[in-house]
Amino acid sequence: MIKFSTFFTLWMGALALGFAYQQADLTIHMWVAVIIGAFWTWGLLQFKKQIPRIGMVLLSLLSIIGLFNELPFGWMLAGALNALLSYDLSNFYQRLRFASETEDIKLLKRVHFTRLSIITLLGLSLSTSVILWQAEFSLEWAIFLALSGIWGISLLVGWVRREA
Amino acid sequence: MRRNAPLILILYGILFIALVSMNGEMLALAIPLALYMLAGLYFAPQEIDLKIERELSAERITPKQEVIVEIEITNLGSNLEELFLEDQISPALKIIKGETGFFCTLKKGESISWCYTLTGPRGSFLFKGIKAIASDHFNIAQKEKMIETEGQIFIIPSFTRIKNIKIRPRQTRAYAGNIPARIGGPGVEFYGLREYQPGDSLRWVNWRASARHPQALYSNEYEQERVADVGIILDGREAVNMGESGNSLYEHSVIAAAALSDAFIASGNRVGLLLYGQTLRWTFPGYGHIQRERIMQSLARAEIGDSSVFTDLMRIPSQLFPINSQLVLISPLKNDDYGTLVHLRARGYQVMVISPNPVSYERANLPDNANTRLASRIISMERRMFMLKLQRAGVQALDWDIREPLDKLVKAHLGRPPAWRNPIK
Repeated sequence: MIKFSTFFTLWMGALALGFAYQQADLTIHMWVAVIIGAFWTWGLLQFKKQIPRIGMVLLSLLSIIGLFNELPFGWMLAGALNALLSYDLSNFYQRLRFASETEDIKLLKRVHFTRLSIITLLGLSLSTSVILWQAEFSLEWAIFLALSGIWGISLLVGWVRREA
Repeated sequence: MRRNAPLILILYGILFIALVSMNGEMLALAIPLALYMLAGLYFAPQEIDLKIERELSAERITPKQEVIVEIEITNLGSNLEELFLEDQISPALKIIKGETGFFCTLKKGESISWCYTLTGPRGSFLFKGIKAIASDHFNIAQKEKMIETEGQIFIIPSFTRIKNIKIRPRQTRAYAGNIPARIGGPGVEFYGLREYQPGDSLRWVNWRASARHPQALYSNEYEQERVADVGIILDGREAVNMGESGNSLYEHSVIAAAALSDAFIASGNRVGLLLYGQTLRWTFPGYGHIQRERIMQSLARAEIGDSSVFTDLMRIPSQLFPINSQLVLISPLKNDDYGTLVHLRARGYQVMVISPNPVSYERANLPDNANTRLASRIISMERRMFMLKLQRAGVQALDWDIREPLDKLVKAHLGRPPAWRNPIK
């Protein structure tokens, strides 16, 4: 189930981006999305630890480039979100390899899927509502976000220091 | 942190681009990723407080045997959503069944156990501890802790038991054994005649000699058999053990040392072991099963060394061995070693050399052509001459072609005492 979901979300993301680029006559970009999907699939089959990270970064970059090229937001969000899901499921699948036979794997999977589904739905609904709301992205919003970002970074630095 | 770097990079990258380009869609793209990371941080694990116990099915095995390692973990702290445990074992050990890594979820107070089977080459292996990594379900926030657990495996060399090695050191110890002691008394082998003493058994009376001397009775005297001191020296010098092709004769020397130690201890002798290589490692002489175990553990740790101090055998500390005792050197030998061996012999030690043959060993790894054959013949002749020279100097030298089993060679050549008694006066 996890394996299937990993491959499914990975190709959903790659094909969503590919389709959007193909619609915009950006054939090279489309092929890049497909190649990334194939590369990621190969990495998963070979149990390469770093491939999901690289694949996720590359697909997210393709989504950003797509938005710059004024491609439909829905397809780009689908690409980035599926890349994130596939990244998470790939890592989870690799960790599950070490689970013992006595471990309740079904429960572990259920909890993981539930949490992931909630985050996905929440993320999708928030993103969609932001787009539907169509609020003007003014300078005030930018300053608020910048301050939030700085606060986030400072929290992150504090956390890293504590970890060290 | 490094594991989450791509996620953080993308998140802040998107936010930065969104702010710079004042693009709301770009900002919306970052929302799922931000939620994903926030959820991970929200469910971050607390401190790891685990009690771990490791149990080994055996602590002393031979290279082909297997050990089952069973680890029991009890969570004394808070609930851990995802826990990954990794037993830190030496890379030389080989996992036969199971994994050294273990993934589970562990509630407060819950216990869980896992096991794996391993084997490995000769050596002494200490288990360093278990690395515990607790994380949330998205593996965003991690807590790591190294938990020390006790455990050690000795993989001792496997050998075929050797029986009946005849040695004849000049001096023996006080206890009864099976080495002729050069002293008259109760025994089996005839030693000499002496005048009858009250208490002598009538069976000891030499009637033929007594008949010649009507005034006196004579008794037979037998050679006492006692235990002796045996010092085994294992030569671990890289220069003599390593071949050109990177192969080493050392494992064979270790097996020989184990077999000989076992045989001498089984005969009741007091045996000590000196490992001569990177450093000097001395196992003090002793008797019995405990001493055998000490020697086997020392042999399990034995390693080749390339110390410039011990390039020749001149540094053998002969004062460690009791005077006039039996020394057994296990070494492929080089020509420079002749002087040291003669010197030891001159000091009164009975010296025996078991020398794994490096020529035949190297020859097996070289292509079979005219040049190799000729070179092999020349070096073999040189070696034969060297061994003869040692034997003429009173050193009991045995050339061991490692393709032959050692027990067969020992039975053929060491099953009877050496023909000479005091070759060096």
